[in-house]
Amino acid sequence: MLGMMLVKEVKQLLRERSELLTLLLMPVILITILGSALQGMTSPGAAGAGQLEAAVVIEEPLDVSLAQFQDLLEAEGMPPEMQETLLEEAAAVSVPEMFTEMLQSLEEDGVLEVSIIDDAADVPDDAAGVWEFDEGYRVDTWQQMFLQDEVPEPVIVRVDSQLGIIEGITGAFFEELNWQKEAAYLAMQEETPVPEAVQTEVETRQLDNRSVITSFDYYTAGMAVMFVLYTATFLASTAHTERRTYVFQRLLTSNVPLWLYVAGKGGAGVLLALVQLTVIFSFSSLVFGVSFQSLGLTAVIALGLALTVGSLAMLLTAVNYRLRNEQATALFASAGVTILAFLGGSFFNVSQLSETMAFIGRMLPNGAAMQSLLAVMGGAGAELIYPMFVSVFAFCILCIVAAMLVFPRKEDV
Amino acid sequence: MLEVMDVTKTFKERTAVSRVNMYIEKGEIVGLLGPNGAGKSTTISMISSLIAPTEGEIYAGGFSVKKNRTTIRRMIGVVPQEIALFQDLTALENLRFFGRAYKLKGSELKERVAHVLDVVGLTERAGEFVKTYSGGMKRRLNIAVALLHEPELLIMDEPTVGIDPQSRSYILETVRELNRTKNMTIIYTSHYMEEVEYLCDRIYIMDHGEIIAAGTKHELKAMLMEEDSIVVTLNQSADQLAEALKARDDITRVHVSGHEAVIAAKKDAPVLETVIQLTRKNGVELKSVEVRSPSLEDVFLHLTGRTLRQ
Ligand SMILES: Nc1ncnc2c1ncn2[C@@H]1O[C@H](COP(=O)(O)OP(=O)(O)OP(=O)(O)O)[C@@H](O)[C@H]1O
Ligand SMILES: [Mg+2]
Repeated sequence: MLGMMLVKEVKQLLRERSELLTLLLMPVILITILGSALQGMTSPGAAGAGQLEAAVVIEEPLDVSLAQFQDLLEAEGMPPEMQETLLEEAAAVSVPEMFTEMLQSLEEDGVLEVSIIDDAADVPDDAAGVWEFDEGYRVDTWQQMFLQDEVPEPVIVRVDSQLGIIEGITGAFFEELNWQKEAAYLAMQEETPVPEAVQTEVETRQLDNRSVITSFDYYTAGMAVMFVLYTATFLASTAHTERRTYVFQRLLTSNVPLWLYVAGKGGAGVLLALVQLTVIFSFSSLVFGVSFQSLGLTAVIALGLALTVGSLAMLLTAVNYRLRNEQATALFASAGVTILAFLGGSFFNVSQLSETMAFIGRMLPNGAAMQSLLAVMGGAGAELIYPMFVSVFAFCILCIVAAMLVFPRKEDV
Repeated sequence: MLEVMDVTKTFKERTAVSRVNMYIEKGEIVGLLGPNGAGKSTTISMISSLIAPTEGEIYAGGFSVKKNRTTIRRMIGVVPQEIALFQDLTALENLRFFGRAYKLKGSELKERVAHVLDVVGLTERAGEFVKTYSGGMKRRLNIAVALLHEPELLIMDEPTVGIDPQSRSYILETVRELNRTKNMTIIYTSHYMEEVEYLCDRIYIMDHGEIIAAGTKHELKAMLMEEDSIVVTLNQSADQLAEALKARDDITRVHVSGHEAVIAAKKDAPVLETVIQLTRKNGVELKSVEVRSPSLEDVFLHLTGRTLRQ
């Protein structure tokens, strides 16, 4: 019988042109419009980033570099007292140390959490940004600064580019650094003429297996988590029609238990939401090349969302039956979904507005699912989507319990 | 088969059904007659266990409706007053869906669906969407669904409302057939006298939530055996004539609607003569006169002073 109820809902939906348009065509159109319109802008960013973890990899200790540099100066035949001044100077303008200092001051401000390590292999998996200073980097920069040798190999900065902040920090630092070096060079000019300009280059690379979130990625996630909610309102409104046209009473007289009817709505919600998500995701993937990285994790998130839709459908059905009209559902469809979508970050990344907004977004099942989708699109592993299930399950249980409390007892229907 | 004992239903302040008693034998077709708002549908909802009586008990086949809801529901088929169907599904899909709800499966389901489609004459159109059906076809399908599980007791709530005479007589024949061939017990609700008069062995007449009369049609009409019923039509309003008639002793009741007056007079009273005299005196033209044997409509008029569809 449950299967029969599901089949019936699917058939009904397929024959409701206007509903189909809302549930499938609208999100696809909005992904196209918003995705294209905001294509050029910096990525909207992962929702609710919170405190960032970052790592600096310095492969060589400072004194090792200094010793190497001294050998080099020795080989150049520099007088010892000159060597000493230069070494002191060098220690003061060591780029990795200056950079770390700056990061630590950011850490004090609560922007970042920085760990300093000496082996790239030890970088924590969830680091949002990694700066790597290779062996010999210091000596290279010193050589350039003091001996006007070759421009050093660029410093490699591996960045999770969902987070513009890492790139921002990098840019600001190295611009400043180049300027400082220029100043240092000008100061030294009086004593030893050095003709060539100084420069430090930054090569930005993506963190291992993490990819850029495009505006199409962002709005695919945003619109998908928003429009699945309309599946719940659709089901609740069919439920209302079934009561109004006495189909529900007919089901009761044919001994279909109440709970089965309500469960049927929930089950249909799960099923229809899964179909809907499959369609939206397939479209985005085929037309805009949106890549979900891990199909398995995407499926898990979709299932979580579908459960949300199912339990919401049950709650709205119960409310319709209790109030004997569908105004509550209509209100939810018009205002409720929009508010949830806004808070969840479907339109833009509201979590950047404040910590409170980010928290609210994470607590809402749609917001949590959206963040998880973006994380998976960015190449994150399973551990990033676990937190979503806390809010999804909390929401489902809340809805189902509320539905049971709200649904009228047999005599009142 | 069915016992309704002193049943009352009160919605908040309004008493919809008040101390109703009914007793129905197996194989009977019983009519439940009454004007809009009489409490017919409420009574039926209580019998079919959809709403609980405020007071009183109902037994069907020896089971208490209150305590054996599941058994009762398996025993009865309800044709609701509204078209309780999925408009977006085809007739066949509707029947299969409700058949499954009645726990029918496989070949049995198939057979039953084919059978009820045949009974209501919709086999040819079974693949079409209900929303494209005419009113009469929807009504017929509405009945078919209630027949799927071969109920012992079929309760029909105004199954012919708002459809053309052809579909109506088709439905009436169907009901008769079901009763004759399957010995199905049927409660037939209507506010069409002719239908009830044609179909039913016994009739309950309801008004304002109460049963105001019950019996076979002959018993009910016998209440009027002491009367003649005359219908006159004038070329103008019959009000004036009615006033004059009411003053006379041998006239029991006059009911006016527009140019028409229904006059109930004591048996063998010289009503015709009186009417002719009065019209002549008032310069009113007499269009037609009809003397008829009493109908259930007249019984209702007699009991309530109103016509059924007033
Ligand atoms: N759920 C309800 N809540 C409040 N009042 C109700 C409810 N159902 C019925 N009533 C009232 O009870 C009375 C009887 O209604 P009911 O539907 O039983 O009449 P009916 O004889 O079936 O009329 P009709 O011929 O119009 O179908 C009406 O006054 C109606 O307004
Ligand atoms: Mg009714």
